[in-house]
Amino acid sequence: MKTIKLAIARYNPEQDDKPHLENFHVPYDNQTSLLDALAHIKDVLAPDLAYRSSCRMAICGSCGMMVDGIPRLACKTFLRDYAGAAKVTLEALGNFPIERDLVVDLTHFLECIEALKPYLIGNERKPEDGPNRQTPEQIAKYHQFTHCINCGLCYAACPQFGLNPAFTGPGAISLAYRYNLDSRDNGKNERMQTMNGPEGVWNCTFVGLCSEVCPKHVDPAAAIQQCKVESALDFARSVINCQKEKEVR
Amino acid sequence: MTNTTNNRVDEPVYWVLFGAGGMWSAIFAPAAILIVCFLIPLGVIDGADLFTGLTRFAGSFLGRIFILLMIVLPLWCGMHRIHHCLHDMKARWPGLKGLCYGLAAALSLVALFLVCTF
Amino acid sequence: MATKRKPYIREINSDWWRKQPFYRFYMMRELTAVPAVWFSILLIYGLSALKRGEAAFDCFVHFLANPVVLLVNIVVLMAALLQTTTWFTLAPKVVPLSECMQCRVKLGLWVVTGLATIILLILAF
Repeated sequence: MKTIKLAIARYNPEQDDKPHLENFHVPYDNQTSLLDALAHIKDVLAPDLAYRSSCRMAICGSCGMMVDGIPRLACKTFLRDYAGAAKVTLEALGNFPIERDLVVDLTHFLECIEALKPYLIGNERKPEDGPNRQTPEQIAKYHQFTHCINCGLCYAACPQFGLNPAFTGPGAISLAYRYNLDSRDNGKNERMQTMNGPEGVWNCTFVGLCSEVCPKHVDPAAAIQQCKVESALDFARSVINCQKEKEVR
Repeated sequence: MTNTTNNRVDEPVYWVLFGAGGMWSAIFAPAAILIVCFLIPLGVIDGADLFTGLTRFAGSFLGRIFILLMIVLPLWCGMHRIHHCLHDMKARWPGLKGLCYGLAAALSLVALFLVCTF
Repeated sequence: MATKRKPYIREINSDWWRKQPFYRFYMMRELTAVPAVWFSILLIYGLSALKRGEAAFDCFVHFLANPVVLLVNIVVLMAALLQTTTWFTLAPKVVPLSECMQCRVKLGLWVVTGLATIILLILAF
């Protein structure tokens, strides 16, 4: 078996002031994923290495990390693709606070998802009414945005989130947009409040790397631009309504 | 639902101008730059009636509109981008936004004045 | 028991965009704004020269023919072409369209640009 050098940014909050690189030589073949390599390191070389993982098949979204500076899922990254490289540098998922080694604190992302209410709102249907049917066209509108697995790679790819850690961010906005586009939902106005605000869609400058790194081929950059159009229309409506109120007075 | 208006940012205004400017420059800027910066000074376009031709164009109604938009829209697009670029490079001076959009507004007024009085 | 958590927050430097090719390209795309503003100012200068009469306009043309200005304007033209290309790639994403429609819109925008260029050139000659 061939071997490859992995340089992992280690951080132990009880001992270190900042992360430092530690090198590991791991054997690999054509089928070795980065996650397999991390398991090997933890089993054989460094039992104290901390990383998150669960499903090994790009559906749980736990094993996001920076691979040579690009956010990737470890389970979907194969060492064969780095065969010629002198070393592969691993670091905890970008733009989030590092708890330990490759584990980050995703609290902000989770809070943003919660704030944007990603569930059907204002639908009065009861179970007796039967299934709430949708046409294929209605489903096609939001379908791609349902693939999000909340892995946070788009946040790690977003320089605007790095520059402003309060930014709602690509993942949560895509999820909110998914519900705004759903014909069964009536909660758009509630979600637009966050979108219109100082931490909302207007932080985005359409860098576009979020869509490139998404392991599920969601297009968060497009979702945010389309939300900007919605937000701009909302802004125009508020100006017109304000004028009308003045006229009434 | 009570504080929706308080929460808003004024970015949509600049974004719409940026969008219009970006689309306008994408469509017209290459040809305009080719003509003004290369064909005219290099003498490719006949120099004899260049001045009268341009004066007639700048005096016509459509010419005025075109020249105004050709100057103003890319300005707003450009200053919007420069503003965000400086933000990206962590330049956070207090008057930055006012300076960027103020410059765009001032130059727009100059262009409007020139076009109206031509 | 007191917490042993000590989250490490990575500082973003002002040169973050230099580290990845994707970010470098993004910055280049955004900085096409500087030549665009320069061209607008050039047009203001040209228009005011045109208004002041033939002598002033000849002076403007003379300024444009300066080799340094010509060299700068080559960069301006390249920047405008980059802006056109990137704009037509990104703009169709702003409206919800199927992938097939996005390609068509992009093609349509290029056709419009081609027509605009031809019309402007015919007007110029």
